[in-house]
Amino acid sequence: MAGTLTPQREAAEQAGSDTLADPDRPWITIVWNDPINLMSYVTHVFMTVFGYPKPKAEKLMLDVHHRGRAVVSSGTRERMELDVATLHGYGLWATLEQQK
Amino acid sequence: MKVNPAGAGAVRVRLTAPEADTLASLLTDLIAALQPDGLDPSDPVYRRLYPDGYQGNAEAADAFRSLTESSLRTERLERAEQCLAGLAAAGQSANRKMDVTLEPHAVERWLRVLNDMRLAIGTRIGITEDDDYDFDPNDPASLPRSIYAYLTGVQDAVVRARMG
Repeated sequence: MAGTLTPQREAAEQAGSDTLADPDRPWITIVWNDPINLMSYVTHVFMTVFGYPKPKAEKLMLDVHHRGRAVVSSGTRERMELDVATLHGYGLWATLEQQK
Repeated sequence: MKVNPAGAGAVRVRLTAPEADTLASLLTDLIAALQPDGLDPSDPVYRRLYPDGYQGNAEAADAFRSLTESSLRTERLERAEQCLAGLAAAGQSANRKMDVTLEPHAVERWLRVLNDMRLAIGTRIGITEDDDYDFDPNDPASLPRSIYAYLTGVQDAVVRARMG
């Protein structure tokens, strides 16, 4: 039971911090590394979804691959929720959070 | 299979009949998994196809899921059904080979459907980044692993042809 209390408390704190957070701090979309999505495909998705030129898309893809994650876009919470939903539609593992 | 750029983002694909049959069978499996009750929410494949939008914030993740999951499932299902219909519509030539030119929107659809198939199979067999594709015929996962490796090669060839 102790194991289930910690994540609940963290979630409550995080949810609370959403309402108290500085509204000016931007939200970010993060793509996480996974063993299935191909490097070529991930580059293609960044070019297609965000319109990034190939060098920028490749750099972000390599950041995901080597560092485990990369921030691929930033903006309002609503905009980032849209980006995350779009990336999920391409099968990428994406989440959003408010920039720390 | 042969995959070549066909100009302006289009891709030309030559398939043999067994390849087309295999893809049709895999598409049928995917379409079944994408039905409203096709996957149990506790299934790792379900968690991979519909990941959390927030980490460490179950409340926000649940709210995000309730907004996005249904449309995500529906768009995946429509793409898979369109690919299956496209495969059925492509005629075979006398030598049992199919030549198909995929226009850019069809290329995008196939890339995403191939990815969905790889996500489902790869998650089911627990693929890792350093899989050596050393096949043991006694391993019950050896056939899905070889299918996964084949789909990986096809998807990579299509995305490279798409980029030109």
